[in-house]
Amino acid sequence: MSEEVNVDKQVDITKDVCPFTFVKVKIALDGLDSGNILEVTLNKGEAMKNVPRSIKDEGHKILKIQEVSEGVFSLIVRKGAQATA
Amino acid sequence: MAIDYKVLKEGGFMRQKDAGYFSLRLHIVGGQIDAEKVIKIAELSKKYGKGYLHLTTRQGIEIPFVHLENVNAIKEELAAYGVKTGVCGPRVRTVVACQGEQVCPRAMIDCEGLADKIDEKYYGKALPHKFKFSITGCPAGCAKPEENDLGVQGAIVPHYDANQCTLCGICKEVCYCGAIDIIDDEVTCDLSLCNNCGECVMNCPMDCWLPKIRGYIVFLGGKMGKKPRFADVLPGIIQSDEELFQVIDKTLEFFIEHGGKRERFGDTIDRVGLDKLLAHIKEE
Repeated sequence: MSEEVNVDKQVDITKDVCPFTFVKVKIALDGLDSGNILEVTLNKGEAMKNVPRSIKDEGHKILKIQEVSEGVFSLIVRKGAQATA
Repeated sequence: MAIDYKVLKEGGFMRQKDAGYFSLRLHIVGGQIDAEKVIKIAELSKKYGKGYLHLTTRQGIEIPFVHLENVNAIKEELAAYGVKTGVCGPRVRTVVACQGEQVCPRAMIDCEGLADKIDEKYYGKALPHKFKFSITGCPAGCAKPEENDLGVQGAIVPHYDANQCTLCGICKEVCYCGAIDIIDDEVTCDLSLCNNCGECVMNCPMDCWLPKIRGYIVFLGGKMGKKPRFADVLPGIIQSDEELFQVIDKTLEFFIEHGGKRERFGDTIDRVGLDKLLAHIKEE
């Protein structure tokens, strides 16, 4: 199931705190067309508790999540079709 | 002419310390009111009160400083706009509710809809003492079900389907109760620790967590005031409105049968016994 995807844009929110974590993700997604891929790098804890859920709530699809280093995760997100820019 | 304060109280007129004046309580459900009605209420407060409104602790609105001689006039004008007066005294009071699933991303039930149904069926019903309902969408409990005579909270029982799972660990991360664990690439859930908040279902990016049961948890006998009492929880999750209304009917029946005059429901439970109440609710 882990087919390769081409990442169109990357955003690193490991140094940000809520709510700027999701705000940065939202801004990054705003600059993409639906179907484009965004890679989000985030920390375990507060960001993991809020960001994936907010991405899902706004109609985007999380394709893949993997731990890239101790406590740091990478989310591969496909921008949703209905999502408002 | 003698003033029957009891009748006025039933109609939501709260006697003020200033002789002849009342704070008029309005009938509001779950803290929701049409903007147009608010405008009319504001206008009437200028005409019959002092031009201000009081927002009550239970999501209601009162128009203070309505004089006795204007009681009927303001009632008629409110009625023309579709606004009813509230109630006070020993009966079912304002049903409070959080905004529920229409607005809140964490809510699991239609709190406004349920508040309306409960209000329609029980509002103003005479009981041994005041009786307060609260409806809240999730265990965060913004509408404080534990401190109401009967609180209803949204709940789900999650079910895990490994199909698309990437073992990302978000579910374990978001679980407030430590119910979810990942051991040797296997996701486990100890439902005895689960608080039915639904975070795993709402957060899973792959939709591996699904709501197996969606329903209500009921809280009984909570109150604040001079002698606060945290509510008892009715064991189990209620899975239909029909079942919920049976529980409410049984609960009120028990209170009418056993409640002493001016005794709050929680005190009745402590005096008569929670086991007796639970047995009564279970009875067919």
